[in-house]
Amino acid sequence: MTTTEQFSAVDASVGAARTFVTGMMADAPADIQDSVALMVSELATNALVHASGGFAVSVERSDGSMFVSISDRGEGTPVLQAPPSSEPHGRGLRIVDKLSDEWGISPPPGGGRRGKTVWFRLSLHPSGADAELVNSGDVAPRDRGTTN
Amino acid sequence: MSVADRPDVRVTASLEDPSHPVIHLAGELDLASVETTRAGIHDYLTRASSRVTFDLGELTFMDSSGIALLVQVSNDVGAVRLVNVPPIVHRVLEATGLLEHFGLSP
Repeated sequence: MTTTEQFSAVDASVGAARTFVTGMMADAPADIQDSVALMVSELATNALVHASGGFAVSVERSDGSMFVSISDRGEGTPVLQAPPSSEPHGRGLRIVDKLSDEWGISPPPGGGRRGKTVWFRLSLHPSGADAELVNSGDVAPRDRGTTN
Repeated sequence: MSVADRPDVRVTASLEDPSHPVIHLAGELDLASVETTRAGIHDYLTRASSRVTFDLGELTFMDSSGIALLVQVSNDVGAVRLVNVPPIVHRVLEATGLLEHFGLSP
């Protein structure tokens, strides 16, 4: 089931979008909630800074993963950048690229020229280095704090 | 959805050595609060000689808006050191490859 919420074009919508999405995964490990909050924050910020008007956030939670998409009606497409350490800006999509399992950009439904949807997917279960800390099948990954 | 009408960030500082301020940031540092934070730290930075320390122990969230601010301070002042870095801040600095830039180890 997909849940969608609209957010208005004010800066405080960035935090409101984080709260909306993480509220749907309160039982997930803390580090995964952190990653999702960071990615939602970046995409919401991009939508507010580069588009005019508000944005919509859709969340689809399946058994093992969160699929989140953020849609706006602005022109232009976000670009993955690699700024040097002295450059203040240009890291939003880099954060999504690093923290998600996969992500992408879709044109607006209906083929219009304005607007786009940026989406990401992240497994709710620890993987890679994090998984080593969950050393037994008896330890539920949703035990908050076990991986920190 | 209702949204807060005031940024949720607080700035305080320890000035035992005014040339090396220790600035405490608390709350959430994002698009909504970054300008308040920038204004809040301005006076402390004018007295800083070449280094400043940010104590992030009470920061509950920071994204690339906060990174932009810290990188700008680093460019302006010189050395920026971060202490008491919460896991979510460590995570975003790691994702952006900036841990070493702020004197942190992986």
